[in-house]
Amino acid sequence: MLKVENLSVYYNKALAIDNISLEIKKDEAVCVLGSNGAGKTSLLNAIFNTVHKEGRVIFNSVDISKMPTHKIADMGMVYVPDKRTVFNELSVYENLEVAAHKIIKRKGKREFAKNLDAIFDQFGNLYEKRSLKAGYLSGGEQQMLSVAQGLIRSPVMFVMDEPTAGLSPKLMDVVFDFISFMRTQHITILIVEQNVNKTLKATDRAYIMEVGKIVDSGFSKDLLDSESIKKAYLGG
Amino acid sequence: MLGGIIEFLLLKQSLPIGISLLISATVVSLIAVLIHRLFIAKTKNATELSLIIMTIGISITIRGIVGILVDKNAHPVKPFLSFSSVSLFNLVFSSQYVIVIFSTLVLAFLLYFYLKKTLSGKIMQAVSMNSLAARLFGIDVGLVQMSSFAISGFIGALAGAIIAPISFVQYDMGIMFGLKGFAACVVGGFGNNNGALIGGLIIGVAESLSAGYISSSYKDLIAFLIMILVLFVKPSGLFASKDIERI
Repeated sequence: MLKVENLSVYYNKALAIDNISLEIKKDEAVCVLGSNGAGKTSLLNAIFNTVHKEGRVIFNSVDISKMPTHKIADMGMVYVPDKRTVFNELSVYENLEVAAHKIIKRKGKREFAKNLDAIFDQFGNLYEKRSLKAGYLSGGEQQMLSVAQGLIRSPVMFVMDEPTAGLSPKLMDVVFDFISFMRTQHITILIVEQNVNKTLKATDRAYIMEVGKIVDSGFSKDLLDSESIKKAYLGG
Repeated sequence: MLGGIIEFLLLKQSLPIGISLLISATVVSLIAVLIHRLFIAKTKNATELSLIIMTIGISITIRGIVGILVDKNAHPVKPFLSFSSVSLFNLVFSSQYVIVIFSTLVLAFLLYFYLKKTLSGKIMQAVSMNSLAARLFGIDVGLVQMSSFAISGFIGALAGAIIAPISFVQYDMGIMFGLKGFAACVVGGFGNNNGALIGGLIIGVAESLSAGYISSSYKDLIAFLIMILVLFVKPSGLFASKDIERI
């Protein structure tokens, strides 16, 4: 479904990603792990063309390397960056309305209402706060709203950058529950996370990045047992 | 200024007021779109400050071009209504003020309705709040910005054309209106359209009172004194929308 070939990212002259390649198949859940500064976020930004890059990105057999970000999003890819995607001055309902604007324009308000009901079934607290400005939500609720904004667009692939950053352990569990839910909906997932243990348990495969390079990759369950991973990321 | 000038030129050709208003607003709207496409959209690594400086530069250039192509004289424009003055509660004022107040209320309502009640208005707000998120939701940010230029050009031209019978049209008529509009936004609070409207009313009434009770020479001074006072007391403006951001 998604192929990244010989990707490099530079910020001025500083090399953030050094010629990496990876592939994600349909219905797979893949994670990218690594310490701060490994280039994980740059990888996601490069896929969505929000940073200057070299190399190729292919999604569903279409070369999206030079495609504008909004057109990549139109292809059914959702990206929830670490800075979240909420619009502070709009209400929760309006945030979802804006996120689903293409569905409203193409399929009408009825389809949007159907998707909205499904979202509010999943995110009960967002329903209670649907008239509240998103800026007044807690950090966890904003994260939920970002995920809900992505889900309401009926994506084929969901990309998340550290969705549990700054969340309480209870809310982290909620995020991972949603990852499990998305898998039941056959949504392909690419996730960048710091929470190595839970992420490896929730995904099929993993890539390990260090200073802009992929240094290891494999099935998540194998990496979970790997001594080097335990030593580097699981404290033991 | 362009709205007023174009309207003046069209009225000179004996075009009806409604048609001349529509044409002048449409032409200025197209010029605004052109400015966006040629300058704003093409600026690399633009910051808010650099764009503000650029638009000021463009406005000075347009003023210069109009000064050369038309002339630098002040030209009178006839009031839109057939009667020239209105008497209300022993107050007599130009009938054009009725047009100004009515148009302001209608435009403010339409703008409010568009931004708050329509999907494309909400998308426009979303782009101004978080353009990266907007792009990630499939919104063509460049197109939305261009639309906002078109709308502001249209409204600005209408304002210039409607005020023309009161102020006369001249190549530099927009400077003081622009500065006082800025003062009204500061007084009312940036980010709040209704606040800007009330800010404008406060400044306008204060100006008129000072002209009546003190001297009309100090009229302009009063507007900016109020602005400075508000900046001292409540820098975010009297009716500022609270910027909410979770850190």
